[in-house]
Amino acid sequence: MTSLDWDEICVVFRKDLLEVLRDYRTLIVMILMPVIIYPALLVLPSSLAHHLQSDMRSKRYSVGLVGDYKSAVKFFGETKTITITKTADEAEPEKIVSAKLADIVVSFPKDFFRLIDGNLDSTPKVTIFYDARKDQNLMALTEVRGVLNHMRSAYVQKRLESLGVKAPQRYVVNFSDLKELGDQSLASEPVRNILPFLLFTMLTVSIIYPALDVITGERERNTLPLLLMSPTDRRSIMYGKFLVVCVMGAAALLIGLLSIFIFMQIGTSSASDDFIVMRFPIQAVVMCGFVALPLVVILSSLSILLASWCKTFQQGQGYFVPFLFVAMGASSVCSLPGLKLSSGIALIPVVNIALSLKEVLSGQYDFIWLAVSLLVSIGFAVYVTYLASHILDSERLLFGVADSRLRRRLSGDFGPEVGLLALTVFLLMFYLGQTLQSWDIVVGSLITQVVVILLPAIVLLRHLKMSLVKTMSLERPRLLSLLGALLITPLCIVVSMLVYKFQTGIAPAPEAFTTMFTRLIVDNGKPLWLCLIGIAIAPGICEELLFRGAILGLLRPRYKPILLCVLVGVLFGLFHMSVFRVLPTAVLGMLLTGLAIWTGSIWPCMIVHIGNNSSAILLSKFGNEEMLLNWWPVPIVAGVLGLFLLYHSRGSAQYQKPEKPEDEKI
Amino acid sequence: MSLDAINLTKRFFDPKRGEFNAVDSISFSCSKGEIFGLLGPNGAGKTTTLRMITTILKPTAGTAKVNDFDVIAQPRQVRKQLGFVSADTGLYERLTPREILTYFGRLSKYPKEKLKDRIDEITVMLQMEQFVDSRCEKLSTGMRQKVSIARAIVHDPPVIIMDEPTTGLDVLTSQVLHRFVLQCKEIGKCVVFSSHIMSEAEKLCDRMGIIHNGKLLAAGTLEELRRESGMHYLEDIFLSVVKETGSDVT
Repeated sequence: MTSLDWDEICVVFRKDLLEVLRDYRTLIVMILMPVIIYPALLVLPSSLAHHLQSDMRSKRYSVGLVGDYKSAVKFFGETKTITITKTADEAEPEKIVSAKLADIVVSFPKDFFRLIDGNLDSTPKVTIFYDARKDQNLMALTEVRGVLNHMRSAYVQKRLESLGVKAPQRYVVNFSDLKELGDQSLASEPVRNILPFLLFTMLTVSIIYPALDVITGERERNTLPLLLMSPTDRRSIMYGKFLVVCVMGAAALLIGLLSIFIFMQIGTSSASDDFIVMRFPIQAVVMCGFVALPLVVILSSLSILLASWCKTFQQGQGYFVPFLFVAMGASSVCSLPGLKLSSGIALIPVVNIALSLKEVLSGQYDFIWLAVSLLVSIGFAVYVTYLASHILDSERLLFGVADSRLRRRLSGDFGPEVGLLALTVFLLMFYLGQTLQSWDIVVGSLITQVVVILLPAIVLLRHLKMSLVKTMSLERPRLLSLLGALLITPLCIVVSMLVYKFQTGIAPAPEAFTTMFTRLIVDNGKPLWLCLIGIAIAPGICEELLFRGAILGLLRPRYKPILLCVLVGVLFGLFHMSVFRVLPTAVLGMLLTGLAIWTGSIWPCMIVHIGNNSSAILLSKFGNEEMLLNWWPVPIVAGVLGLFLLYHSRGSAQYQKPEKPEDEKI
Repeated sequence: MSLDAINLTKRFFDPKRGEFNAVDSISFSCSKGEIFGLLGPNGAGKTTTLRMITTILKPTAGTAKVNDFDVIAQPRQVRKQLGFVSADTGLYERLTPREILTYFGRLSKYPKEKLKDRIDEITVMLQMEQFVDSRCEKLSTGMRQKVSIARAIVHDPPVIIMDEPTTGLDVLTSQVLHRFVLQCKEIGKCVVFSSHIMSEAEKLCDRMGIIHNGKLLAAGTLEELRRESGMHYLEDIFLSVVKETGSDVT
């Protein structure tokens, strides 16, 4: 690979920057939106809440009193927010409300005050009438209830005194705001909660338009072929465009943060109380700008990648919506409790920026981890942009030409088929599998394994006219590989457990998750043998036939072993449909994929998979997971021995090309 | 300085037709100071052939060499030798012709210190003085085509490829373009010129190849084609060659 030509990158950068700055749409997104919408979204809700509160405080509610109301007048009269607009001995409360003579009417029964004064057994009821369709009447209702409570307390006090009981002294409770000493947070809590979401969302919007303009726009305007005919390195083109998008994003970020700062200075200076404190000092502006720059860089690279896939601007706008939702979802990491940048999350792109923002705004950050986060983000962005540079030359995207489906398949590219299979299984699993398993965890799991997992894989391979035995690596295995698999099973289980423990250290699974898991596996009321068949053996066979069989068999001709392990492993992890199980199952999936590739057979994977699931059931029923960890030398020794056997039993499963169907034109 | 297409083949897939050869084993060559015409109706495979030579389409089989650089093995070197003009290529609407020429001149590694003079020279040559600093979005079709030509030659490439460059142009602008093509020949450029206008080919091309349904049916000078077909006018020659080979004329 040749080194980057910075001169070329600068040429592309200058030209694209000039072009983008001459586009009014980009300028609207870059300047107008941050100037108006950023502060509007952040400051307006608080201003609105402040005004509503002031309005509530100054509002007076009209109250009508009917029936035996006379003794109640003094209590209602003492309340500042209430004005008695109508009183009547005999009147229909509904009519007073509907005639809008009062917001709310309190109806006292006949001889009400006499009854509550003397007769301890009587329980006269006061009825309140109001129009529930009007929000302000609900506020009036609260006020009226308050008055009635006060009135009741007064009469209780009076009764106690009349009975000669000394009333207890009334407690006086004083509320006061707790001001934390040594508070180092850079911004107030509402700002800390809203700003990360706002930055993720608005930066995505600000960045996607320049990205679409410089790449998809160039493709749509038919200038891209000319650029590609010039002797320019594709990476230079992409990095030049990437820098333009970064600059536009950074400008939008800067403008946005400054406008929030200015609006907040103006908006909060008029607030007379600290009902909602909106504090965002200049230090917070600087630190947010520093921390959000990696976000700009990452979003720019992802937008560039997205734009590279689009043939038209319209198509790009269609892809933009899910992209925006993903960005919005990523910002939610800020609201997850217990997550810390220093726990290794600094190495996970995007998530690390969300956490950086959270920690910086709360004033509890470590510069080293912020720097790690920055470096990881830049590295990730550079790599994503590099990947995007390979899409520029796509003939399909440039001229709409494509190879036939059969030619693609004959070249070993089954990407769309694997995508379709995975999507089908995921959807079936989500809608049918979960329903079946909630009906009966064991029998439902058994049916799910066959119908949802195995059947689609077989149907697809039959449709592709591929040999099930060869594609799924179902040939008779070597005895050594089976023995080796059996011996490494405890080690695989331990690795999976350790990964789960590591994950729990970073993001602990809620107790509800662990208890539900135990209840489903152990306390399901089914006999052990049925549990083993439904939850251990069937998944060990069917899931292996899907993942290490069909999916691996279809992907193997195109990808290298390490990438295969990652791809199939991640799919396997995602398939388990639980945030807290993704990582351990993905790691197990990677190990199983590696085993399948090494031995060339799916049978050893089935053994390990069945062993793993069986151990989960047996350990939960008759012991606990710690038993295996405490006996760690056993899995290690067995594992080493197993690996030795596997080393000497390497298989050579070959990918089988599909036979050429006669009825297709070629 | 030459261009050689050697059994160039490109297969496409169409849901209705299945797989088909858009370009079927086409071979021809063009030397320094020569204009080679690729003649054929729309959809004959001219543009696909030229796109393969300019390296933005990858041949399914065969190859092409530009100044001995292979389009498959050495695409960047090939691109340095080429200038491409087409009627349907776009321009950067928000840039001026001068900015576009500077951009492509820099990308093609034309010496920075000479670039301004080169742009001025081309501006005079193609009579672009009046609009060289106006944004392209305001230019007429003829003006835009002049900008396209200027962009293609700003780095002074030895090989110029023109894909139906006069489509949509008025007579006056076509004349300017024809003069430019002949000028290129005079200064020793190798020019490949595709067209479906027979009179234009008769006027400009030293040698020509008749292409139809992806196949090169005949090639040679106008005199050679006349001798072989017994016809005088190129249009008649084209029809006779197509009928002789049993191809459908659509």
